[in-house]
Amino acid sequence: MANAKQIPSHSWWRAALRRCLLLFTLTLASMAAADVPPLIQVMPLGDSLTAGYPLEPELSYRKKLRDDLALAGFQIDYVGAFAEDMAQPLQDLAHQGQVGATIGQIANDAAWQRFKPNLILLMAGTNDFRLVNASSGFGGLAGVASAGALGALVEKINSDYQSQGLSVDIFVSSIPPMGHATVSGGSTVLTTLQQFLTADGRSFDAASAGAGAVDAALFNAAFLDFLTRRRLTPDLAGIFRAADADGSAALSEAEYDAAIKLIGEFVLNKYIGDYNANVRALASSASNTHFVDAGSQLSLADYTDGTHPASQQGYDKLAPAWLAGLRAFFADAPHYWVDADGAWSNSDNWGIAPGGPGGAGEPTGGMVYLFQSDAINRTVTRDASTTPAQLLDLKIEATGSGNMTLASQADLSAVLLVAGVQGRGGVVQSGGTSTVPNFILGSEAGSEGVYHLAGTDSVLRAINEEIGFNGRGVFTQDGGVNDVLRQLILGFSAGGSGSYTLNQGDLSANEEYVGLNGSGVFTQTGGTHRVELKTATAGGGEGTLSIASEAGSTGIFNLQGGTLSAIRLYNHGTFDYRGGTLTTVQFFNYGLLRVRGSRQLNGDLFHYLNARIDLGEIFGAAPSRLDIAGAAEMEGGITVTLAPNAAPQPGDSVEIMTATHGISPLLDGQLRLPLLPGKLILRPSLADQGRALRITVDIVNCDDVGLVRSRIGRPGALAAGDVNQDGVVDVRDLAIIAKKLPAGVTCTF
Amino acid sequence: MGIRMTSMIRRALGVLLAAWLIQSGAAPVLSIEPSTGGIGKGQSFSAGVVVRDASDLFAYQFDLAFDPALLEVTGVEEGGLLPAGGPTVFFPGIVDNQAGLISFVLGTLTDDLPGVSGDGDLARINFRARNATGIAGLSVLHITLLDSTLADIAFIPPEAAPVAVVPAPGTAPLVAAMLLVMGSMLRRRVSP
Repeated sequence: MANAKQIPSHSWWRAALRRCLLLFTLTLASMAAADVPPLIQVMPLGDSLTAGYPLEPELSYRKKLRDDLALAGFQIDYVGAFAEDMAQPLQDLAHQGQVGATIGQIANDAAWQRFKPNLILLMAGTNDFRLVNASSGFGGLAGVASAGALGALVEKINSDYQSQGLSVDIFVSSIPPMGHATVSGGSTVLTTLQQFLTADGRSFDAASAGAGAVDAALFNAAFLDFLTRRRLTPDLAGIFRAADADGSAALSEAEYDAAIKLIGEFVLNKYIGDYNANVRALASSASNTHFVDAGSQLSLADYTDGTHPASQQGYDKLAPAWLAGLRAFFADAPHYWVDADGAWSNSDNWGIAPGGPGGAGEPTGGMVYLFQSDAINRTVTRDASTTPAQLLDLKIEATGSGNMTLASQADLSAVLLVAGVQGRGGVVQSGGTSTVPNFILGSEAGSEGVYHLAGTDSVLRAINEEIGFNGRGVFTQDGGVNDVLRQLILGFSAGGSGSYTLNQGDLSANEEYVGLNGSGVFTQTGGTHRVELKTATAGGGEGTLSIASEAGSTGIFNLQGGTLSAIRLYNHGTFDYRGGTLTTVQFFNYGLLRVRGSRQLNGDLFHYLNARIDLGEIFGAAPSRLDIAGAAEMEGGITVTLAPNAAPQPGDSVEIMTATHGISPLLDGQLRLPLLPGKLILRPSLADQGRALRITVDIVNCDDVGLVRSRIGRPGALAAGDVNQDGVVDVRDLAIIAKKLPAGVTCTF
Repeated sequence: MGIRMTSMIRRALGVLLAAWLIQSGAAPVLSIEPSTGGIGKGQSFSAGVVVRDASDLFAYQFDLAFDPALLEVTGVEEGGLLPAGGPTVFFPGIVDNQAGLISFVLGTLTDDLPGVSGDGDLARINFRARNATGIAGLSVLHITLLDSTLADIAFIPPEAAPVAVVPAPGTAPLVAAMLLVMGSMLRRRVSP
């Protein structure tokens, strides 16, 4: 009794240890497995043709298909109740091909419910034909040929998946032709067909009318009308010749029997043909069913038993059709990234459903989604090993706390690229040519898309680039070429905000909007930037750079280095000009043009009422000035400020603006000059025959006082005489200027 | 009743504050001083805008409102206070006899002169009575006083000044009656 207690106790301890070790091992295994996405599960579903009967081992088309898929870059995992090897699930040739199974039996078995494959390769119907009793007519054949049972099977599969919130893609194949066995075996359908064909006066005795042979005329008389009434038109002459083994132009009883078999095969395969046509129609009726014409790859010559390929080479003939169907499907199906970091070229990293199994193959077309919703930072790398891709959509999206980034180092083509649909997405292009007609960063409200273009050989080509469509878009260019055929837009919608930083490289566009309906900021510190004619537009906007284009939008262009050229530049926002060179045929300023340092504008300047030019500091170490190689039409305000610690003296003068084609006469109050200390004042003048706007330091006199006095009561931000710039000319302004009058001066008004 | 009490308390506090400012000499007091309390139709008179207890006054500005149905402005002259301190620049304002308003009547000393101190006229407004009778109130609005650093000077604003326009000169009884009515109206306005 005592021993009995001790042994269980010891056994319990060891059992617990074993359980812990097993649990630990399983945990490690599951962790390791979690690093590798599961493969797409495929169920070969059908009958003996799917199984590979009667060959040993039973391979059917499965081995060659899997090998060919692997060569094409697709990894799959066969599943099914037969030949499943749980020890090596990825290497087995599992299937659900049950010898002798009819469509109804396959439906009743419902093996997909156990395995939940992603794809089903369905070839069925052969046994339905084989079991038809045609001894009294062709009605049974016609019933099978309608493919109604197959339609019900497909419907059941879909229903089972949908009831669980799942989906499946079903590849339905045609079935091969059937014939009489040449070695062994036979089928009900052919046996009974022979009975029916020889009934009612079509037996050898009846057909030969006791002559012991049936010539061609008698043969036609026996079958032509009979078959034609049933809309069957076999080549009776050909059948006669094929059966006439001795070439005597008359069929012996044995030859007549052979001819009947040929007619039977014709009839059966005619209905199989109808069946296959209906299978094709069935497949085209739904988006998740796909037709595969595997059956037509076999002929009666491949058989000895009339139904099954007699060699593996025969079965292998089925594989290319399946391969073609799957390749087309994988190419067209949306591809979802299912791994953590990894290479674009790795087939295992792609699935055909979000978070689904991998192995769908490297996408080279269709829609590609780099989606994630967890905390992992993922980088998908397209390097030199990547197959060139021509995608429809490429969307990059992280809705969790992690980031999703595409490292693009190789050529890429996508009709639409969206980085940041509702979440965040990024692209780092350091090589290759990316051709993206439609390019969006930050699509929806709250989203953010980031693009970094670098590398001397990198090229990005687009028709339209919308940076900050209704979300936030950030584009940084440190090299390469960004070639926009039509429009580059920062801040497309009212809720969109976009920024573009050009540090190095080449950017060119047909039109540019820095803040179209939303907000935009463009900062150029280097590189070459051209807004030029590439495509004529209906609105004549080619070559136009617009800042804060629409009402309610905001736009800032910071030019700090590099070269900027445009045919027209419309500034309704802020153009901050601190470095680089600016060439525009026409610069239309409706907003704020801020100039710092000595800057050049190659082109005409149109400076409109209510706009402002802030020329920065004068009389300092680096005084601001704007030199225009063109004409300057001035209506808006111009402001300058006095440099800190500047000590201008009477007679000092400085040119703040020049224009080779002249500056229009200044309007009253247009030039806002800073107050000088003491009795000094700044006086503007147009010098050099109207080509230079000069400011000279002078001493206040009665004319200065009289100017302010004559403007008393005038409101407005740019009102002349508003010395303190508080929006109205009043005693405060007059007192300021009067206080600067030299001692003893009396003014009479 | 509550509103009336609050108004009375506010008024009392205002009077106390004004009394304190006057007592302490902290702020100049402005007033409107018509040359006459009653005037016949078509006749002219003047009204001075006067400051008392000014200190370092360098510049001023005000608007003056009047009844355009009874009066029209015929001229604005600079007062004597500011020119006593040195050269000045005077602006007689923008007269609108339709609206009954003179805007931006202003004056300033020049150079770095110190401001003036004491009592005197800032400006004198010349009126002519229109062909109507009644009581015309004169009010000074939007007053700015600046010292020699161009900082604002606090002040006590003037009360409105009434002028009666009567049918003909020498109708003393009528003037007396109108002044009684006017006084009664003012009392009612003072004691709500």
